[in-house]
Amino acid sequence: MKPGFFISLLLHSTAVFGGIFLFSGKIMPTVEGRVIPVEMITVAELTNIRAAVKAKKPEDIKVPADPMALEIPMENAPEVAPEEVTAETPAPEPPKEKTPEKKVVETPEELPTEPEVVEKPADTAEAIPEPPKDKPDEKPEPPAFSLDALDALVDKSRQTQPEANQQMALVSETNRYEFAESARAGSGAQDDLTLSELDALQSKMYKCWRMSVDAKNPEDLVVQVRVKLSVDGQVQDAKLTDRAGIYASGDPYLKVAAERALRAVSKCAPYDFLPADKYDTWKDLTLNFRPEA
Amino acid sequence: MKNLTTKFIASFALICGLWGAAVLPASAQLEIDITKGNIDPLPIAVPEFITSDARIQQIGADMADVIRQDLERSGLFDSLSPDSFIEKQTNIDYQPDFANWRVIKAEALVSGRIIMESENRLQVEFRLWDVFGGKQLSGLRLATTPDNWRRIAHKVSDAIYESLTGEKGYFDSRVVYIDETGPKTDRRKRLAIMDQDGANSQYLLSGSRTVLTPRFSPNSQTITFMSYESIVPQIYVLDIETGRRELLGDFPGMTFAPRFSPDGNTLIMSMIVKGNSDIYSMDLRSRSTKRLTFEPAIDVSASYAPDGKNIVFNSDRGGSPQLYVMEANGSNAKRISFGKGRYSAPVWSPRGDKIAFVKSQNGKFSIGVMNPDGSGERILTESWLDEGPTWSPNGRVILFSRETRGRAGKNEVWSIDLTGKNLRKLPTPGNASDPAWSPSLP
Repeated sequence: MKPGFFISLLLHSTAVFGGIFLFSGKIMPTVEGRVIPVEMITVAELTNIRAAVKAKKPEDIKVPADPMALEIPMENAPEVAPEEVTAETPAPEPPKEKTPEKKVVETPEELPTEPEVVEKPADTAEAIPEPPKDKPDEKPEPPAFSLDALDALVDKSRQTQPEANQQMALVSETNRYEFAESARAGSGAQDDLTLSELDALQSKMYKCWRMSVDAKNPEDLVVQVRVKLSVDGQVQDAKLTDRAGIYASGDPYLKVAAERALRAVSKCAPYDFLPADKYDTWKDLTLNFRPEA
Repeated sequence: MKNLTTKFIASFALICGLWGAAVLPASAQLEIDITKGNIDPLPIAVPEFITSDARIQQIGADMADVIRQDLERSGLFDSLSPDSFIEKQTNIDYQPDFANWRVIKAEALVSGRIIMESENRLQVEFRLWDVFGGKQLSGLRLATTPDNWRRIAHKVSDAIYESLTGEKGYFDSRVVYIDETGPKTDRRKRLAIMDQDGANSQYLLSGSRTVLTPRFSPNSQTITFMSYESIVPQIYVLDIETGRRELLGDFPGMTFAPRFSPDGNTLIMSMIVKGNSDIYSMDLRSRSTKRLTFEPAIDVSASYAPDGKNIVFNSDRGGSPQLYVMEANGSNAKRISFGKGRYSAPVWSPRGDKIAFVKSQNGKFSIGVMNPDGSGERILTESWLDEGPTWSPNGRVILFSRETRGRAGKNEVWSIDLTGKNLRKLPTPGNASDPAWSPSLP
């Protein structure tokens, strides 16, 4: 026990002090590499989109070549004629008639199969020996089972009629942004301004905002303005977030920078280039005027 | 027991609820960084100052003209032509119709009025309006004698400049320069003074002594200069207001390149003793001198920082003329210029953030600026011979003398601002060189 303890002590201290000696000069601070500035940008056009359904193409309204030709002869009383005209002119009616017709055609096709199934139990009830006959008949069929047959069972409606099951928008609704050229899955609420919309705002601001480059410390002159906009892009209110702080700082450059920021906001109005359907997003804007050298 | 379980579940639910509330974004507000803006000159409208007195109507028009020129020359403003004005002002006590000024793209509007209070007292009022903000930015009332209207106009320009840039104006200031007459081989160099815009030029000293390197005291209307009155050039101090002139001491060697300290109580200069030029400081009250550099090299052209703690100077101790910064007591000299070429005539900006210098390279001379630590060197001008930079009182504009080549070459005074884009020639009656910009007038 005792010698073991001392051996352990000796070995441990050797390891510790040896380690200190061996690695004394080798622990270097991590070398600072070149810092690559990374700017995070959201490509909201691609990453933050709301699910949309395919917009319906405006239907061609079939207008009779000569609407008057369809009319009932004008011999009728003039009072009656207008009523009939209004009643008959709705062109969309014919398509409505067609679709029911299709359904009518389809259902009869299906119907015959059902009666057969119903009849079979009757057949089996009458003649018992028949089932064995049926079975041999059925046996050859399984060998006939092929992938083609299976394939035929697969619902191909997606390929043959890709648009059949799609949710369609009403023509009147196609202007709304939930409806697009083709249907797409959503991956966000689409409540961000897209990069190009931000670019439009920033390039407009470039023209309106005079930077304080002549000041001694232009990078420090950061001014935050809260802007309330109306739907048509007019400035309802523009306030400095830290008005008291700016005026209390006693820094004349900062005061001028604040005035320049406010002037830029009112000079750039109206902001009618911002998309009206995202009004909820930009009705309340916070603009950070942050001069870059 | 059941009660305890219920309590536990309730508190757990509460905590979860609070946590959820904290995590939910509080009405997501869009925040956008605007990092790029333009640096175009600000369009400003200065209609003539209105007056009901026919005798001073001309002064009203002339004042507006001087203000327009002041602002335009600064490079930071675009003075709109009065021909474009839609609204004619009749009273400055009401808000102008901003829409009329927005149409002509004016961002600021100056409306002024002059009243002749008595035979020799003129009262000038003005208001500066923010056309897009729709509010008054500044308003002043000034009084003076009618013949002093130019200075009042410069003061108005200063007030406009300050409220729109945050920087003190420099228009109410003067420039001392060397007026040169005669051919290059036999020049007469006399001390003269003018307003910063070139108006009211006049000689400061009678006689025909050759005078060089005038320098202003940073806080009073006193200049120091070098005169060849005796065989050996000596340093004088001259009070411009009183005309009192004083020779500074009897030095053992040739003294040159004098310059005031920021408080005006110390003069720093170069003196050649036994063929070696070094920098000395002289207390103007006790007249005691102190040697600051002890190198066998040529140390010249010293200039104080505005806080008086450091001195920038020119030395060839490293082989070629370069700029060095040392502490005011002469210790801790550090080289700050490392570019190609030869550096000379450093001058510390009154704002403290830049040092102007002359750089010669490839047979051309340039005026440039750099930060006091030597970084951010920028060349602002280049010509056959640019020299003698001097700062405007606000440290934004530099005056310098430019000499053109050849026997018929001219000496002119030019100005350049810190952007390097606004190069202008100052109108002087004849050849002029070695300008020295005064501090703002009181």
